[in-house]
Amino acid sequence: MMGGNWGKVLKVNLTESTVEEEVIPEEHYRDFLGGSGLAAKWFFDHRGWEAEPLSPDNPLMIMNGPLSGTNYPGASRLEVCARSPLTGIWGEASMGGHFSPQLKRTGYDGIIVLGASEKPVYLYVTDEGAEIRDASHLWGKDTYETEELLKREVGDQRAQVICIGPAGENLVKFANVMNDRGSTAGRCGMGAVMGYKRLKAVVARGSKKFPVADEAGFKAAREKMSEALKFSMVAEGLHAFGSNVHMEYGMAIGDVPVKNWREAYWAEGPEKLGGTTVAETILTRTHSCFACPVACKRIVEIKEGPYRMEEGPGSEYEAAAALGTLQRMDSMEANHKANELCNRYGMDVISCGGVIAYATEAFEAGLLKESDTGGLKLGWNQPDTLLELIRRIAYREGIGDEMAEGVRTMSKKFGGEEFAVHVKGLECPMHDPRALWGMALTYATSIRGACHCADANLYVDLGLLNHNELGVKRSWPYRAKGKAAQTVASQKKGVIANSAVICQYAWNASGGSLADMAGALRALTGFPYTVEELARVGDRIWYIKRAIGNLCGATREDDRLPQRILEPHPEGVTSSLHLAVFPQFMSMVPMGKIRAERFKETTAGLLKKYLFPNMDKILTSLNKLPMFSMRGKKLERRDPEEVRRRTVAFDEMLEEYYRLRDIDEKGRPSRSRLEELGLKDVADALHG
Amino acid sequence: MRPPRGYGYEEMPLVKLYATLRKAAGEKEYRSRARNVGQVLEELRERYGDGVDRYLRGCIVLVNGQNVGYLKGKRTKLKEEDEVSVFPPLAGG
Repeated sequence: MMGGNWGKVLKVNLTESTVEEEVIPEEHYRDFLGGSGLAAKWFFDHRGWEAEPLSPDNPLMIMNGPLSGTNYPGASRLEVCARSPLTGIWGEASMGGHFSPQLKRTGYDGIIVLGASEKPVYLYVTDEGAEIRDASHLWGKDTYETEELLKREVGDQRAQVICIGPAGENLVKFANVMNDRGSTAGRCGMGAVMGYKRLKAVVARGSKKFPVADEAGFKAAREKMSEALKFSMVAEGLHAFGSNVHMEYGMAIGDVPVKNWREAYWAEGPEKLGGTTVAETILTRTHSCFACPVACKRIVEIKEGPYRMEEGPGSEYEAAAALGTLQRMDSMEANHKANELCNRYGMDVISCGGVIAYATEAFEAGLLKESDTGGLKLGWNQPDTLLELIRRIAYREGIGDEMAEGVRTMSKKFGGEEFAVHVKGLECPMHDPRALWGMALTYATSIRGACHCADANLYVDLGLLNHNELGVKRSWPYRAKGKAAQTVASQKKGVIANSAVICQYAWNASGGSLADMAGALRALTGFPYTVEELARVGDRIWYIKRAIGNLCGATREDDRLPQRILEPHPEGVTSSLHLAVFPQFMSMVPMGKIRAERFKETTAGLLKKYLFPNMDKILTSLNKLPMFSMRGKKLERRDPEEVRRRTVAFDEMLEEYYRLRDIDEKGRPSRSRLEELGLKDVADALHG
Repeated sequence: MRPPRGYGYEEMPLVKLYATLRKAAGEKEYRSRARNVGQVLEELRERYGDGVDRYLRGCIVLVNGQNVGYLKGKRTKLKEEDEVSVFPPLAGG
């Protein structure tokens, strides 16, 4: 018998108020591990793509993996998956905290929720199975209150709760699912799927001990990982300053987006918002997910002032950037308050920050008027406006109703698509592909849209991880060569992390070794995993998810990045040369007088085709001319490098990536590649 | 500390320390007499003792925001107005 899993999930139908068990074949566990991999397999087998995201038939899958609930460091996670209402394609979101081990102890590997209830309900899962209970009295409550009330209601403080807040109830497209106040299944609007089903919460409390195939072997693997973390610099940094430790370094290399991705550098940003400053000022203690020695979570308290906040979870890096630097807002207190509001309302901070930054720029550009915003004057560094917008989005009030649809929908309605920064409808997380080119491929080819957790590219480009065991060399952060192969290898690891399920911080901080992971999974499950076999599992899961994306309607056209984040920054480039290299230059010329759109287009096309790709050569040779070097603003050697660095050779990388992945002109994986991985049924569904 | 080649203290390169390295060193920044990046690293070991050594292995050094890996590594020369940022290996996000 396999270990690490129970071999069955709970299937709940909210329309019919029924609960039953479903046995999952053992080979599915072997081939798809668990977590989002197993969820994707179930989704495919049950033709999940035929259901609209906000319809009763869209299955909501809350899935543990084999590692979930063990005390393997970082294995505190589960995956929440469904067809995403925000993107319309495969949606998945990973969540830490303390819910996953409780669910595991109930004797089920996951919960699949179908149908929709007429009145608000919550699900109470114990060793005896699940019970659908009334949640009318909880409807409208925020996530902090809901969690507390439910623990009291079931009379067990050790019970764990995942729930939605008002944002999920109001079907905000990027509503999330919350646990432990600060742990979220953030992305893709899984909270809206729950809200549509009127499922306010799931409470789990279990006491069963799951089987482990080789206890001694697993214990050894666990100790090896713990030992590695003890000496890891990365883990030490995360523990001391949280994930926001990245802010200072990120800003120094141009990885942190500022002012809706317009600026390359904001020196004061990290001083005001970075993890070091938080640790020196408002931090009261650290907090960890289940059985995690890293403990990167921050608990903060703001004792006074307009943004007073009682002791609770503080901003992580994504929140500090999305609700801080992206708005060019320099108030740490307001940033933490905004993060708390998003947590309470149950909204993804990344998408929320992205849509607010887009709206601010649209307001500046005159696309949004005061009549649209209900009298609110949107602008940069306006903490009060930011907090008000968060509230309006959660309750879909006025402009909040438009913003709750996400930047893709909003920019189609109001214009400004060139600065609506998303991929496949999912707002980009806070890492700039111009600094780390790997992130360009990561965002473009990630299954769920722009995502930084789908693979390990961030860590590879930061120089903290390599793929030597997969025979792939690390490439330079801003060179195209080798990026595609690196991304494919990174995705194998990312997929394993999200299926096994383990925290990427913890795994990567310990060295991210696939051999160690294979050893741990072998001992835990009893399946004979090796590095090669695990890499194949990683590929198999990636391809089935890619195929689901295709079946939901995604094509090659969707693997695009917004131009805003591929070209040099409009503001804040190291020299005045940005005037010559940024395409917006064209809009600065008095084109209104010339009124020659075709001329404008042709020139812009020529610039893009010939000038930008060769900009470094041109600038280097210009540098040698005395007329340039004698000017007041002397060209320095680093300027051409800077320009080259920030113009991402995206098309070149993507073509190579498609070749390696064997993706056809419609964006589908080839039949032969699918069949090679044992996915004949997927090939048939895709290619007919 | 004696400023090199006769320029004043304020004109020496500024070395900034970050995250856990800052914590171990107990200092945020200082003016350096080093003439290249290699010398900065040696100076750090000298200045703060063996305690910082582990943070310097695999550290990331930026000179005016440019990773020295893409300049001349440890041989990257420093001018008086340069700002050197030293990060221990870290990641977040």
